[in-house]
Amino acid sequence: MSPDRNVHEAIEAIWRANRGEMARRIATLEQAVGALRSDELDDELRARAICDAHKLAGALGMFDLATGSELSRELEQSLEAAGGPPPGELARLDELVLALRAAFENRTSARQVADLTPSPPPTSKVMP
Amino acid sequence: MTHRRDPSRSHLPRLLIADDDPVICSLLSAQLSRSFDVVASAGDAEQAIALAVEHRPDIAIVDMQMPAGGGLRAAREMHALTPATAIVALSADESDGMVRDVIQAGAIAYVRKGVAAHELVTTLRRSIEAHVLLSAPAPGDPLALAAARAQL
Repeated sequence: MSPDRNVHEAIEAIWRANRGEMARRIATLEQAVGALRSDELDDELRARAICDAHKLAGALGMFDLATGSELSRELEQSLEAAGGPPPGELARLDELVLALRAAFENRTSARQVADLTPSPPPTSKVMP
Repeated sequence: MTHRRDPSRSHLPRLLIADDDPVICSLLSAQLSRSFDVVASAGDAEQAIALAVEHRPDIAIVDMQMPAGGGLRAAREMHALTPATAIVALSADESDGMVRDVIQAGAIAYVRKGVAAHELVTTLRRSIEAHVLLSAPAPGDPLALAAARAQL
């Protein structure tokens, strides 16, 4: 197996082991945006959401999810804004969490399909 | 956390990874373990300083937003306690102020989180080389140059 393939497989194994944690972080952001919509976002949930958005921004890019990373970074910055995001920004935050969830689900299902696809048979080598 | 050592990798530069997100530590370790001997991973600044003193790595990649004092404190103390370790700051924040602060804290380079693996490997290798040159008693010293080349 080539070294690049080894690294790729190691990263996929890390994804499989941590996708539950990634989903939990996205759920925190969905919860925070939901709470913001009903004007019930408290400091504790806001701090957790900022922390989870920051971690998603760092990790998703390394899983080849650059879009997810950028969306998380924008969510982090909006939630960090002094006094919270302005009311006019709520629709944008809704779009961001929806797009983030979709990017995550797409990667998850794409990898599940890849995992189910049988590998080609090994090339046989005929010795003279 | 100290990693189990593999004697067959002792020729590789020794690397310490410090990030409060265990997912990032695992990813960096997977991406960098071909080119570096990952000796330990730390989850906060305190641990990073202690592991740097224990292992004396050639290079440390340090997240700037960590608990227990943050990456700036870790970089500052590692620079003072293990001056032979090249410190590379890792962060999502690329503001001029942040870059100035990490360099003043003793980091030799700065990389954005999510940078491609090959780019990260190149930056870390160049950082070791530059650190050896900058730490040499006299710039241009042929022995220091030879040591820098030997690290590549």
